[in-house]
Amino acid sequence: MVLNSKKRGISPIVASVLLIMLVLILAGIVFTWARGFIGEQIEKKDQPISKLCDEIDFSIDLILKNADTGTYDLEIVNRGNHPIFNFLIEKHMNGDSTVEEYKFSVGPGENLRREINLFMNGELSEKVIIYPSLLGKVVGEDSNRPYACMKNGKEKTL
Amino acid sequence: MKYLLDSRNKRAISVIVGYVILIGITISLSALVFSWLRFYVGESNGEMEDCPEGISLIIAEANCISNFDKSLNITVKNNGRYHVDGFVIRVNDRAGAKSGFYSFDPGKEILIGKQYKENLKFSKFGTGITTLKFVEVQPYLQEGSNKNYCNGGDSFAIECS
Repeated sequence: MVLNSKKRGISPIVASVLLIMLVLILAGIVFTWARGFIGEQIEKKDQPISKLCDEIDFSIDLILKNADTGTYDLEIVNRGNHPIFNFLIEKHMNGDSTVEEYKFSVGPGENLRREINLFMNGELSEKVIIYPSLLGKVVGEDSNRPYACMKNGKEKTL
Repeated sequence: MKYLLDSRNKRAISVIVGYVILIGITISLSALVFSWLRFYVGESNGEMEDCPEGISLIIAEANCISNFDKSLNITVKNNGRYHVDGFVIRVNDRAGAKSGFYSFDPGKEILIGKQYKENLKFSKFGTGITTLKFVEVQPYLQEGSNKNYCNGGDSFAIECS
């Protein structure tokens, strides 16, 4: 039971490799964990799609058709260079709000008129906010997904 | 053989190579993090893509001819610093309208300082238009077969019946 003083530990290279591997594994774990907070990346024209939202240029108009049923004609003109894939319409009434998706697309320079209903809980909404959505590609996947530009809505008081 | 196995003569990689490997790993990691984070940084200034500042079209004149074939007399002038490849005329027939809806593209370019003058029948904008309340123009630049719509247009409230 004599302790051999000539026993050696691992070499500095092995120690460095172990340290680096440990750091990489920890970074991988943190990355996977943090991805859940950040959400998926959607791109369009090789740019993050949120950047293109600021370049959307469109005008809207609401023309009353029938006050009893809350029916309006929604007129949209896309004055920008990005096709708008669809729209989210947020209705407000007495501090409450609902969001509905309207699936109609408007290409660059095009216009569109659609009949929509702006009743909410049996009454006409006080105001509506119309948000455009762009269609982008999910990074790392072979799929497309709409992205709602929630900072680029147009508000109309009824 | 004994000499070869002598641990005192064993050498690891040199310090310089060690530094190179470490710096290489650091740079690769930063490139990875950058490519991941670049989607979350930088904001657009909201300007139209591919349109230089200084594009400007004005409606120099717009009036109506109310005979049997109702028409719009319009003069559009380029008072900007760039020539435009074309422009869209949008009109609206509803009182109080703040933007045009029905559109017509004359397909004419306007050079700097020049103007476009035309008499357009209402039917050019669509069927069933009997009156005009609002006229606007929006310039565009052509890139191949694509039109890049730009800011720098003009609008005009009009009374045609």
